[in-house]
Amino acid sequence: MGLPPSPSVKANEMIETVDLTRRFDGLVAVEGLNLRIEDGEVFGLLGPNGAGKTTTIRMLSALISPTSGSAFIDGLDVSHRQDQLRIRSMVGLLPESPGLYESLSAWQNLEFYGKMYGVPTSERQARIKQLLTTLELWDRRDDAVSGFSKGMKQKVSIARALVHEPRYLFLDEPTSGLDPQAALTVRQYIMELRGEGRTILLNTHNLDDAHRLCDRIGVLRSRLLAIGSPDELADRFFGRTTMVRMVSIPKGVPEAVLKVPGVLSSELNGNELTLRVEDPSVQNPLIVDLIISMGGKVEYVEQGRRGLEDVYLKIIEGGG
Amino acid sequence: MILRWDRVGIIVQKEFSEFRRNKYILYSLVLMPIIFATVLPAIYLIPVSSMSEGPANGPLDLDLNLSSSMQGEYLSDVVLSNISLVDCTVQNAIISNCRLENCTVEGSLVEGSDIIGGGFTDSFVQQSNLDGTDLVGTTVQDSFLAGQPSDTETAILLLLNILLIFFILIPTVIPTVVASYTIVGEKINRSLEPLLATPTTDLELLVGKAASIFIPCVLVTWAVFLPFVIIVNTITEPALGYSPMPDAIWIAGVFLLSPMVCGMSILSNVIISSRVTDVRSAQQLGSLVVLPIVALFLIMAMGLIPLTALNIVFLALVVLIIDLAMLNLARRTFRREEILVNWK
Ligand SMILES: Nc1ncnc2c1ncn2[C@@H]1O[C@H](COP(=O)(O)OP(=O)(O)OP(=O)(O)O)[C@@H](O)[C@H]1O
Ligand SMILES: [Mg+2]
Repeated sequence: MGLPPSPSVKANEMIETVDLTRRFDGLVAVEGLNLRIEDGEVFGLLGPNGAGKTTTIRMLSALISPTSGSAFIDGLDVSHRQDQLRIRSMVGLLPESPGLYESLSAWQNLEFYGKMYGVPTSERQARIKQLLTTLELWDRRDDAVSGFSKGMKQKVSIARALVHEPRYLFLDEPTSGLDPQAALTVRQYIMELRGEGRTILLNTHNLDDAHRLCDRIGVLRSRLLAIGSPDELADRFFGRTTMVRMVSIPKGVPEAVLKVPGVLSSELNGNELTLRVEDPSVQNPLIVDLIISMGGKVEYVEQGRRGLEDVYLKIIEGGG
Repeated sequence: MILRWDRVGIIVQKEFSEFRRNKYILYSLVLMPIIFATVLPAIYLIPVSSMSEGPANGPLDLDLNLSSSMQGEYLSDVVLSNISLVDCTVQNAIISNCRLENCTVEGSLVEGSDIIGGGFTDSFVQQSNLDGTDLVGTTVQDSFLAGQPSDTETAILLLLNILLIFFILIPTVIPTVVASYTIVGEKINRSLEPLLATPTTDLELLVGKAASIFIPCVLVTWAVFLPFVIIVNTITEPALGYSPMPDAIWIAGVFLLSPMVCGMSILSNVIISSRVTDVRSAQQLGSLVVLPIVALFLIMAMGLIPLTALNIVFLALVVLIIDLAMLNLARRTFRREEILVNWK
């Protein structure tokens, strides 16, 4: 064992993992994870059930220790006892299950956590009021949480993660169990938090959320299979897509365009020709010229991309 | 490891708010001690105390009618009655309505006599007053032994010793209920994970949990001690002629031993609750901690170890050492890694 890295060495605001690995009695939950999440970034972790997303978040929150490798939050080592308290006070965690004190009210739950995070009284109470108001729970603040619906509990749990205004926010499936409107509230709220410059790591099975919220996503299945912005990933796994809508289609166009260098595939659906291309700025003009020269009439040309769902499935299937 | 008492205080406060809303915890914190401290002594002490006809502390009124006296004689195989005997040696005699002072008596039957000093061997004494007489192989029945407790007094004092077991059981049993609800409850609710995510140490959590159980248990034990003393004294005073409570044994038992035993019960219940998934099995296993306590007291009540205040203090020290050992064990169970990975 070498000397532990001193906190000051990596004193830049971000999350970094180096060969982060966690095993549970022989089962490898997370293997050799190398991640770097920049300050102010919203990073989404996708992956099938049991992929190690929750385990990763728990390691980053200094709740469970890595079997090997290391992770740093703001330059602090999650495996370092003396760093752990500071990491926990900088991190807001939304765990998989809300885990509220059911017999206590929403207000009491948040008060307790506010105190545990050491938020001064007046600040704490103002903050709780603001959180409960935003999340539309202010009128129910004195009711026991046991009487709350699943979504309401999830909202209280989100408020709890934010009560100390953490710089780092780890959200484990934030919109799961929420109705579309509540999910929207939460999503907008996350956007707001992102605007405030917080660094957010979120686990989700909701690819729509991932696409809308995340600057970058990582697809995990024990190992990190892919990483990048949703668009980059779509381009990487499907190439760029160009869609040409025509008024009339001359015979042989789908076959002819394949001869244009850089066109990878072509597919005709009704009046729409969908093409995978290497670089739209090079191939698109050539394609349009070719169609016109063959007597075709182009209505419009559109840049198309595969949805994140296709991308995700492809990554997972290709990931072995 | 860091232990900040303000953190512990916040946890204790939160636990108290939860206790207030859990009727099982409230029952066990209020009803159980009241029953232990009021109903139990009444049930045990009233029958014994009411059997005796007032304080049996005075000598029997024998109304002796002494017609002659002897001094320094040797007597054997005789029947003696209404005689004052001083410094005599008596063998194989039947003695009734006599006064014996410093006599040596062997193999005799003595009845309705005043006996002062001297020594009795292999004899049978009934309905007499004895004062400072050595007794060897001699049976004494329905008599007054000066300076010796009466049968009723002996019975009441023995019962009080057994009641001390019940009293010590108050701070032993309540934690099995409270701990099972708070710890297994947090497990079922999964409320430990967000708690563990706060900037608090495992030790603060453990101490907070334990203190929140310890404080009400010990306070309630002490609180019911006062009515208990009043009830015991009210019941037993007519039979004893004095108030037996509180004595040094009880003071040591209630104020020293019971907090130690309470700590032991809490810590073992913390450990047990971490291993089981439902409240009922936590309580069933947890209630086993009363067994060593009961066993110890039975040993004391049976006289194998004399039940003295000093021995109670000594016992409290032994339990304190056990507490410290268990605290060490509980600390190992109460680590966040352990809680999140192995508590199921
Ligand atoms: N406490 C534990 N003990 C043993 N194995 C565990 C434990 N926690 C997680 N695992 C295992 O680690 C692997 C990753 O689990 P994890 O909860 O991180 O997955 P996940 O990506 O969050 O899944 P999901 O999408 O279902 O929430 C799984 O195979 C799981 O069985
Ligand atoms: Mg998960």
